[in-house]
Amino acid sequence: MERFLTRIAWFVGLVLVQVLFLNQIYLFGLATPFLYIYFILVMDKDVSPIALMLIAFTLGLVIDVFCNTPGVNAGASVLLAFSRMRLLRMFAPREEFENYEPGIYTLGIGAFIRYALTAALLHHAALYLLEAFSVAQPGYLALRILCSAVLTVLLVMAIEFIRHRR
Amino acid sequence: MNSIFQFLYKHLHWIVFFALEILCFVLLFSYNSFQGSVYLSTANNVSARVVSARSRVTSYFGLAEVNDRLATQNAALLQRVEELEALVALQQLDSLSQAEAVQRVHRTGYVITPAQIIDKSINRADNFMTLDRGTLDGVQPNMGVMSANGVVGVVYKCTEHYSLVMSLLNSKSSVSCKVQGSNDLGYLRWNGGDARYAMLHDLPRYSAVAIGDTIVTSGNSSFFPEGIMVGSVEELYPSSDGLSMTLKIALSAHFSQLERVFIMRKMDAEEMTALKESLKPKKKKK
Repeated sequence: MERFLTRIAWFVGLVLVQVLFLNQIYLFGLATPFLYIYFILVMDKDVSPIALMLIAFTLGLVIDVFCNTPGVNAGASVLLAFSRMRLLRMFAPREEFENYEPGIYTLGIGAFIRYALTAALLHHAALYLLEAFSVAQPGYLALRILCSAVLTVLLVMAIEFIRHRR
Repeated sequence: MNSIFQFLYKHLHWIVFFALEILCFVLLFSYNSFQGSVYLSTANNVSARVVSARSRVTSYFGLAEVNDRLATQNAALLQRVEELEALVALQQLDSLSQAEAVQRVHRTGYVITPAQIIDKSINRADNFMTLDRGTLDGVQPNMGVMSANGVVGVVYKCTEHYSLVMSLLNSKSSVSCKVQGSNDLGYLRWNGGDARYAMLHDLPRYSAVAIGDTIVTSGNSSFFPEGIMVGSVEELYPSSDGLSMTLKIALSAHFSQLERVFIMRKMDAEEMTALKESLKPKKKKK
């Protein structure tokens, strides 16, 4: 129960941080961080993919409401939730039967960065493509995806380090 | 039969995945046509309160600049009052033409409602703003929105207390404009990227326009009266068909700094629309 309440608090907190601060960031005219995917990244390994997709859809839709882009963030988040199992298998190859929460200690810093960066690239690519819905300026679009993903991963790592400082 | 269910159960996460993605696409593409979709935007009551709490805090940060702008605007208004007083004094010499002048003001009249921007974006492909005025303040969709510097956008959707404005920085926005001092028309569009510039399309090739010229609204639509500042010409390009010109316009409204705007409600707008429709019942509405 306490775990559930903590999750809710993280959900609300990440949404507020995203819509109140991070959406206003537009670094060098290129990069906007989408930190809210942290919520999807660190869900327990064994949570069912269907539950994860429904959660990601809700999370994305709430963000969408604040961005006036219904469907964009939701679609990208569902895609991320759907692919997360495969990403985890790719970057955490050891056979582990017990449940764990992906993080810098359970996966190791290197593997977690690779995991987060791939996830962010996937999510941001889907997001920007859905938003633009054409590839008019492919170079510019690719640069935006890359810069935003790097920024997102930096913030994700910052939160991870703060959470596990002890 | 049993094996079908087994198959479905095994691939249930694929089915859920596609169902959710299809739902997202439906939301994405029905946003413009579906009236209820205003509740999926920053104009709904809960999200509007959250973003207006933020704007109450952040609006303190730029006060010095806001003061400067207000002072300039005040000066311009005072100047205008002077001019108008002089004009009235002149008109009073001739009561007939004065009555005519009053009637003219009434005919071209717009009611102006000030509003505060509580949320805006400039970095997406389709940008919107949320204002703290809604239908209870007399705001309706399709009213023009301008700042002290120039045109900002058009009201898109309204709830009772809030309204959503389609900014000029939106791929679906299109505003009829002309070069000040001539009657050559074009339409202003924005195709992403830099929030300081937009493109004016379809200006006739013969029109005498130079870099630095002022672009104003044409007054052809009921969104804006004629002659509201839009921006100035930055660059000229011939269009691909060679029949018209495309101009790069430096927008005079500073979208990154906007906080207060004015909503322009045309008096008798319904009457005008009704009249236009009764005159050409068979033609398609523009």
